[in-house]
Amino acid sequence: MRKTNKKFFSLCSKSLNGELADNEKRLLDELLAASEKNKRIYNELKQVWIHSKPPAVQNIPDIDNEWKKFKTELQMKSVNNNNSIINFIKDRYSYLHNLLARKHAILAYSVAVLFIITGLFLWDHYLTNSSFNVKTSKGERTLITLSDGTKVHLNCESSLQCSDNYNRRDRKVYLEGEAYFEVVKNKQNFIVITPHATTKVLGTKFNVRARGQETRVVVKSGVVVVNKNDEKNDLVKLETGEMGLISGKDSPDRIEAVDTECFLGWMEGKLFFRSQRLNAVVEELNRAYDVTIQISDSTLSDHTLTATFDNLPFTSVIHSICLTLGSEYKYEDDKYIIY
Amino acid sequence: MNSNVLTIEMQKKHQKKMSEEHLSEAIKDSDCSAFKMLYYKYYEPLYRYIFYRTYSNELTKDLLQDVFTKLWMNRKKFDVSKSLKAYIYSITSNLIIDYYRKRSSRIKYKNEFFTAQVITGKDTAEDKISIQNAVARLNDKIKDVFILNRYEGFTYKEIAEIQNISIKTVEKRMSKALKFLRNYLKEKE
Repeated sequence: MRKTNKKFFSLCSKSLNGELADNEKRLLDELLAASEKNKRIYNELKQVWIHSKPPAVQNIPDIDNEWKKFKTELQMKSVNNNNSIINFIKDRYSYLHNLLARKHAILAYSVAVLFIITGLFLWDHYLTNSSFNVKTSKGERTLITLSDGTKVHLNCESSLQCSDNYNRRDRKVYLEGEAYFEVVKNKQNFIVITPHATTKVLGTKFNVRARGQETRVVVKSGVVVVNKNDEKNDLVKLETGEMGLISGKDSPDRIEAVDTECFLGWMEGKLFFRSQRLNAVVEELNRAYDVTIQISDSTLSDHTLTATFDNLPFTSVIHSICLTLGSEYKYEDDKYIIY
Repeated sequence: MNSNVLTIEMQKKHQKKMSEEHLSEAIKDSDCSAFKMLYYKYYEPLYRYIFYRTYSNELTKDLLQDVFTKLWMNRKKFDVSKSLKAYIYSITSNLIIDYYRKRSSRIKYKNEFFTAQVITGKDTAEDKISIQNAVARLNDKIKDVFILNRYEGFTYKEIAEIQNISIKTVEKRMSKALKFLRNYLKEKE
């Protein structure tokens, strides 16, 4: 019974995508005629097939631009990789060849060996000297594991760059946007550099959010030291359950006993809003769902919202927001407008 | 009358294959303008294909650059007698698999809710959205076969060549895909 079932599905799929051979067609017709259930299944599969037309892909980049970028990158790569080192060795080799022809054989050979070793050293150094850059767009999150085992959960519309020599001289990363770090303890300090602040830890779990003029650090476990970039001595030490705020002009703030759940929920797809102005809520939603929301009534933007959305589809979210505000929304021109 | 039409069709196909052969030969000889033609020809279709597998514009752009870079770097190894299209899609598919193997990505399934909303936008036919979600949830190997067949229009034979699997395996995966999609919709009702 199972076997005929499998065969039946296989025949149905082939019938729908045009791969059905003539002899198979006869078999399928027989099976369909045999039972109502089979006919029903076939129709359901047909519906699935019809409705599974490929979705439109938006924002396809301009090919001319991409081709130009591609060409330049390729040219840079081949210059760096092939020419310099190989030509270097080639030149030396032809000189040595002449040298060897004379009677300074031993000297020539030892010089040759020296150059080969240097060449290999440079080659190895060059190969390991690559930096690492990960970017997420709106609506996209990702998990990165660095070479020392440190894990970085990157939130939407953010970028993480690893310095050259990560885990050699030091452990420095550059962050724009938001990320949650689970740092493996080792001899070196782990340092997160954001546009306005620098966060140093040894082995800890913490969240860094650098958006606009503000950097916000929330510690889940461990100890973290955060300082302003333009004033290295203006710093604050944070422990488990504490939050630090660096914003523009003032000294860093330290806030104790925060609900870390609130600030880390994004990794599970949860959105928390605590007495936040609609403007800020909209900005966050745009980023998390990759949509564009506009508030057409400016008096609405002053309203504050407290809500938690746990992995809801966007339509549910905007629906509940409008219910709370007593307003409505419409979808026009690729934008959601709250009025 | 019929046989004439048939011959013309065969000629057209033959011509098409010839020009792809010419293209791969030229590229093998490091002909830059031939490679540019290849780039322009395959950019959009490959972009769509990668997007259907990743649901991310950023990632798709990056992976696509990698595909063309790899194609150029390996041009000397082109097997001119084999299908260029299958070769290109095969490289693309492998790069996608490599990417996900190196970096575990949690967002693979979460994206589907957000993306589906934006894609279907005004036309919020519930069935359509559900199916996009269902497709996103398909097991990787099954999803790839489904996308190559339903979205890209490749035949089972071509898919077998691209993925380096047997036609029977393609058949199995396609029926598994449809079975899964049908069950997913039924649960949503």
